[in-house]
Amino acid sequence: MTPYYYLGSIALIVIGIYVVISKKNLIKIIIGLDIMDTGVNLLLISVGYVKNATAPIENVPGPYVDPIPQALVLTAIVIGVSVMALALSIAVGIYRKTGTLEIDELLEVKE
Amino acid sequence: MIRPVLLIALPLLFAFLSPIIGIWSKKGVKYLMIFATALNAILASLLFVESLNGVVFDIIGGFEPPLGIVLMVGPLGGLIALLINSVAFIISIYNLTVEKEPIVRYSMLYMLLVMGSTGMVITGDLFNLFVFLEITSIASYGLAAYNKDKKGYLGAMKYVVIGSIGSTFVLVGIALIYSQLRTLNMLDIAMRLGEMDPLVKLVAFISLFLGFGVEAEMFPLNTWVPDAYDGAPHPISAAFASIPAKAGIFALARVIFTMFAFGNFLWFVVIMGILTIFFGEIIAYVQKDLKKMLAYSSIGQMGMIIMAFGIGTTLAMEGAFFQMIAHALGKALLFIVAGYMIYTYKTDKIEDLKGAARHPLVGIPLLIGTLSIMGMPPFAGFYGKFFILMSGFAEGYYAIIALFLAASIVEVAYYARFLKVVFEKRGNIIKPNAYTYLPLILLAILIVLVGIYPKPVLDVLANVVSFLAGGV
Repeated sequence: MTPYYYLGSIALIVIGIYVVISKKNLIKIIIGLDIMDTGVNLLLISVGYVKNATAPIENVPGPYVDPIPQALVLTAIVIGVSVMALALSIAVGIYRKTGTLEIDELLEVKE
Repeated sequence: MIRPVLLIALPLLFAFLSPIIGIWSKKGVKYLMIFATALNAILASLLFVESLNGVVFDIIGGFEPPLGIVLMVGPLGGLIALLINSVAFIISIYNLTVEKEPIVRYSMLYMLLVMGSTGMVITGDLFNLFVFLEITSIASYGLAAYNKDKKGYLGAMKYVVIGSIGSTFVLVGIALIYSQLRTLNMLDIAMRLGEMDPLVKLVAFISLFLGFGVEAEMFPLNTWVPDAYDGAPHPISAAFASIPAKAGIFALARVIFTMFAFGNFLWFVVIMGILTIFFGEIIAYVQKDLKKMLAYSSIGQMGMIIMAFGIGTTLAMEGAFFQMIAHALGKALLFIVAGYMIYTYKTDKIEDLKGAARHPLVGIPLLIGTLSIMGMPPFAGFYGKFFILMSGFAEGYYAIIALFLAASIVEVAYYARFLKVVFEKRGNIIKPNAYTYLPLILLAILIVLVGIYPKPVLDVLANVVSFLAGGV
């Protein structure tokens, strides 16, 4: 069986990096970061995937999926959300100071 | 007997206590920051003494390793934790000069920065390392934007974007290692590394190397450095150069040696180091902004440490660790001086700072710090550069040594030019306040002390032999 989810997560990471590198708008760059984050989380969760298995809960018969990647992904999602919130609030600050979010214009704007 | 977890738990407690104290007294928060970092420095020194007798393990949550999370502190980790926390304490004295509100959030983020960096040094679990990396970076993003001006926001934005890419790489590396070995404990990973597929191992190594390279200011992931340092408040520029950067580079060292046990010459790391040195030093030479010059010089110095990791002999590693100590002390000092000059003379152009260091309370520490960073004996910076040079000679890498020396000459050139300007004659000499010259004197004393009596440090650094062999 081909693990399609690995391909999907790698595609998401590559798309995210491409967006971050090529786009000139700060909001688009932040969206790119988010796509990248999602890709890594997908990669991490698929590492623990076992076919036809259930969540590791007591009294539920096995086989179980690996619970550790799930814990890791939860942590990574929380961290990702806080970074995103911080990045967006910095973008708001930049817009208030300069009136633009385009990188090319930002470098020319004086305070 | 002291538990390493206290070094993480106490700053966290004080950080979240500070809003409550902030309601009652704004001034109290600043003193709480000094108290918390001082307590941490004392705990770190106790822990360091303890770690000299053997690796200290601290099992968190009652699960035995390799299943549970474990903190582990070897002699080198103890040394770096002590370095980070004592510099954090000294900088927190300088923090008293910060006037801009909201000071409560400032001190909270500062304590989180110290706590995250300490955690990165003392943890023994790979995912835990990632979490501490993120705590450190999120605190740094906030502090970089603290001035709320265009420069601060843009620097912070650059830092957020590059930092997030870096942490993504770290997470990819962790996922790859976990997918093969089903463990996150560093020692366990090191032990079972042979079971990994060679290709996956290489990709995982490169991912982790690039990811931690962001905090370690490695080329090409260091373009955030000058902007974030330049836009941040002055004490934070000093803290960035000495606290998270050292934690990042120690994490890098642990990835290379403890986990992947690459003990011999690593050309890839050496080339990254050389590129980092040249990128930093040459751009620093043409900088007209004082803080930007120091930031680029910081990149150059970190490149020297990375290069020494690549050479990978015992002598090179001793040099690398010595260089970390010298750079943390010296760059913190120089950034505090820069903060004083920019604050007092209202300009950050080097050419306008004529005679800015004429006051002896600034001038003498500045001279000591600059000579140490240049690598002059008998200051701390001499040994680091000397050991790295000697290790290159001993192994016969003459081309690398030539490049290293060329970069050092560039470094001496721009620092000498800077010194010439700031020691020119000037009419009105403004005395620094106590919160500025106290940390300067403390740092200068440490630099001289390590420089003229390096034996205790060298004794500790003898432990790099076991570190290189894949120890802690």
